[in-house]
Amino acid sequence: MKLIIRQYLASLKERDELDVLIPELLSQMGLNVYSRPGRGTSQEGVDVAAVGSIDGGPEKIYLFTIKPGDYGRQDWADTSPQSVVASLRDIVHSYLPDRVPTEHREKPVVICFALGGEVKEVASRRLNGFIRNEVKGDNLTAEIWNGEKLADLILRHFLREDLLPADMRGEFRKALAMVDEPDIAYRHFRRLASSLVNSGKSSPKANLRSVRLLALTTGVLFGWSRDSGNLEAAYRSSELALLSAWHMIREALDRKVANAAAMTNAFESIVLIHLQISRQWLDKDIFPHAGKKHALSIATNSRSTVDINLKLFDVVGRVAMSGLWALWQAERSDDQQLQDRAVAWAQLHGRAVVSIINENPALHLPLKDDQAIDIFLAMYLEYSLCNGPGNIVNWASTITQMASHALRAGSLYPCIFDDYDELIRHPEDGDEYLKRATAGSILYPTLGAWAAVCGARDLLATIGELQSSVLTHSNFQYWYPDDATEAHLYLGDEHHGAVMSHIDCRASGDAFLARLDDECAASSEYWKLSAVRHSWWPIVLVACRHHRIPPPLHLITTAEA
Amino acid sequence: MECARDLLLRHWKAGRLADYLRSSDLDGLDRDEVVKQLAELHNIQLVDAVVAFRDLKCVTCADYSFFQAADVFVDALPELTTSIEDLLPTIANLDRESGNDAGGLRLLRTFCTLLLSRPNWLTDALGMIENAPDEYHRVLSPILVQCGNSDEDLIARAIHLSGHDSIQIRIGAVHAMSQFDWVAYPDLAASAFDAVERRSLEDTDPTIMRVTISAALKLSAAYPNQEARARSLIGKFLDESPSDCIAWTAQQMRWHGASWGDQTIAMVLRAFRLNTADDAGAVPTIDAALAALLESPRHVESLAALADLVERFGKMDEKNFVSSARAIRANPSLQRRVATRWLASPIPNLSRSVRAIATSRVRPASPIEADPAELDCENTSLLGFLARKAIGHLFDHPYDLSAFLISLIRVAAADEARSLIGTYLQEMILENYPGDVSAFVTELSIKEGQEAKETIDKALSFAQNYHKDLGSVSSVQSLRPSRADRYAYQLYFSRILQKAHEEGATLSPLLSSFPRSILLYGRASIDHVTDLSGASRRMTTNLQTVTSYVEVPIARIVDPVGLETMLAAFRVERMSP
Repeated sequence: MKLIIRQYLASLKERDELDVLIPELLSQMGLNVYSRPGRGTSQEGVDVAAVGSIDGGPEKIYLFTIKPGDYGRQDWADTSPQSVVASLRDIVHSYLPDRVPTEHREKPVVICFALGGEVKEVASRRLNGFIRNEVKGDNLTAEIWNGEKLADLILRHFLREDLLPADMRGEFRKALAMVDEPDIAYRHFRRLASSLVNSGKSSPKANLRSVRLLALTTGVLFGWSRDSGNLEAAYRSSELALLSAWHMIREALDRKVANAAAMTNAFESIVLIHLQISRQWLDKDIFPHAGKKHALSIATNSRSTVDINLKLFDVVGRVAMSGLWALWQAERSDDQQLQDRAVAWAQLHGRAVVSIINENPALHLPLKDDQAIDIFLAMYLEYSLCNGPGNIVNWASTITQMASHALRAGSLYPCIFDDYDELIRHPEDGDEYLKRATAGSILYPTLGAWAAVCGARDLLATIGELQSSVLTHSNFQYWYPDDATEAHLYLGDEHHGAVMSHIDCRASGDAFLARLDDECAASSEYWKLSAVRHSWWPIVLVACRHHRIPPPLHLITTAEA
Repeated sequence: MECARDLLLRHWKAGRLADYLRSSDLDGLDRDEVVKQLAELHNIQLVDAVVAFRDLKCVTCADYSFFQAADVFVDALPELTTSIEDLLPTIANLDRESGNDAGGLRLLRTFCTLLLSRPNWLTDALGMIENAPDEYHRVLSPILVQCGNSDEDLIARAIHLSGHDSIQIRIGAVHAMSQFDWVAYPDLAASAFDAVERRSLEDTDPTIMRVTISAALKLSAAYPNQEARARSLIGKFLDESPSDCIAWTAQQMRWHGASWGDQTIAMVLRAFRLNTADDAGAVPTIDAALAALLESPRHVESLAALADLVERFGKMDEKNFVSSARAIRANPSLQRRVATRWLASPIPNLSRSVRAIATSRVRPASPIEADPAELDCENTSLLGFLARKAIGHLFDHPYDLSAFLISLIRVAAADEARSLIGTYLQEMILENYPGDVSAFVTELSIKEGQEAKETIDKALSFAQNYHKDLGSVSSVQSLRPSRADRYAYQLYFSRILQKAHEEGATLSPLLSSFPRSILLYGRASIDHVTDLSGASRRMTTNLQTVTSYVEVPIARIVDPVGLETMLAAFRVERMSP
């Protein structure tokens, strides 16, 4: 296990990776982290600052300067203001005189140089010499926390047998070993996450520890996935970790318990990891191919139309989700520059979605009815970007026309099957089969809702015509949250919510929308969802995408209002 | 060991000579010796071969033992000393039992040769037939035909017999008249015409009708100035019994249509086209007739009739109008004309039928091209329309489609038309079929003129860029289907292939006719076979590898519904007026 952790630490970058892990580790060790990494603000060489006692020793102030990977001759020669030597000087000459909190001024200070790898021999001699000469004073010492030491601390404070029992370690190791087979890796990670959620129920402290363990294990899985060149397992696992963590911290946030802030910090570190995974995956696997005709379809490396269809709708859902996270970041930030950057990043996602749809005709017709969820997310991104209804209506119209043609021709029309074996055999002949395959639908009501929101009356009429001709037997429906949703939405462990049945798409746009609105008003449980109340609405969408639940229509009806 | 002579004699005495000759015991003997000994024993009256074969029965139509025994008799026949009175019943029996097998024809040919060498036998035989038509009518026509073509008296006798009281004799006589070479007997032709006309007026029997039509057509082919008489006779039968008459006339046209007069052909084709009986059962026969005419230089009229029939009875495909499709495929200029005309046609059955005249999915010797004589080459809309129609119907025949689109580019007068069709060539062919089909297009491009070549090369270049882009996208690990899904799909796909293989095997005449032996190892099959002399021989058959290569268009994988939707739209598109 130590080897795994060391390898993971060595692979971490400073920004948003190692500097996120170290505060969590220190917190878990019982130290009080009073300063975390910030951006754009002067930290006088200190990336993380904490106070407390380690292994029963005296209380000390620990000031960390952090560097990713190894430290070698070139690093020593670095004379930039961001170099380790410059940071250590800043700590000694600027931070210590002015920035130490008053209540801790009398405590001994330990300046820690933390790095994921190790200090190479040549640099080590020079660095030790520098420390001897420069880091001098009463109550002032210096330490080097290399990957070996960090791994030891992680093992002692996170992965102890009593904290992470053998069965959970086994699941974790299997998840890591199978990152090339994401389905299997995810299955093991899911068991691990489930165990952590259960073990966190015993006390707030255990809960916090579980969230931190989720963060750590997600991070390690990310590192291994990145090394293997396949981020799929990491993506899916980090989504699950995010949802599981939110499930664990949501009550603490409401009750404002003592460790609520620590929980939020631990949770945010998981969000950060998830967004990093998402971004790396998009940058490496998706965006370079988004504008090329059929490129992403071919990239699935499958002869099966079913595989291409399933993967591409999943891709669209993920791209949209990433764009929506960017919009959420813009919404939360007070910094205009950060806001602008986040919106630009979201716009890039919007354009990517449009390109992917245009260049990959498999996206012109979903094979599974629940791909309406990914369609909703993509349309919601476009809608949130205020780009006008053109792209939404075009895509919805194309899907409707293609579905109409496929239903009439008996070719690959959208079906409600989920099992892969059934999907590759779809469609079979016969009316009875068609009725079974299209017994219900959220796809057409979703398209209808968007048609109504965008004022596309003709499109809604076409969907209505489809309903009254070839899909008379199909129960057009939509899901609304209920009072059980909050308890099960994030873990996806039980059925929850209620479905409005027999939605009539033949109604006029206004009447159709009014009915959906009325139901949104009646299903007020959406507003009571913890993620909505705490302004973490993307989590609801992540839960819908991950657990295949239709996104709440409150999002668009509210926006409309 | 008992010799052939002893064996024949012993079995004759036991009353089982014919049974012995049809048994497998004969396999070990020298057959020529058996024939020789049978004739000798018959001639010295130790056995009566003629009597022995008088009651030989053929149990089933594939009764090999019957034909084995009958063959011995036929070979011995020229050597037998006998009378026509004894012989004719045996001949009639063997002919009847042979049915329409070639063995029966051989028997009659041998018998007629014998008759020609013994003139009094011929006269006696005809007398016997006239006196006992129920027994001997089957042999009348063969005797008259084989002996009569060199005997004016016998032809006159046939004309005379066409008015015989017995319908079976009349049928045999008229049938013989339909086989004579009338050109050599102008003096008798008029009487013959009179005789068949009499039959048409006096007889209503369908068989008489058929042979009468055949005789009339044969006569009119020899004397075109008499063609009106044949037409009138056929017209009468068409009125009385259209389905039967059309079916029979079609059969005649298949074999003799090329020698018929224009007006007769026109009349028969008109009858095909206006067939009020709507009898789809006659279509295969008519198809064979039209195919025969399509193969002749007089295909223009038959093409119009074929179009009418295809329109009425459904599209031409692998089951319907097979012969016509084959005839069209065999004639590149006809193929061009039909493809162009039918693709432009607003009649769905015709445009759908173009697929049937495409050669196959493999590289053809003469792929379909457009016929400029059928086109207004300055009409860009028409050329674009034709290109889309061709795509709609021939997408799965990429070689033919490529050649057709390239021929449209070649004949197009306007840059706009060339550019439009070039885009179709790029998007539908070159992007979808990057392998052998694209190589085929490259080869065709070299032979084209400058303007066409530029258009094709541009399409090739765009397509190359497209494939280069795709090639630069390596398999993205995170997008790969899971191992379980990959396995499930492989299993599903292999089952589909296996099912197709089994279905294909049942359709293969070769594989369904012969028993199969499965070889588990090696690259050759060793067999020991026994030849006719009884010697065992070792045979080595080297195994051959048979592979087939079919390019699956990319669109079928990445956009199957979109592709089908587009092809369907192209197929139903109509040319705006």
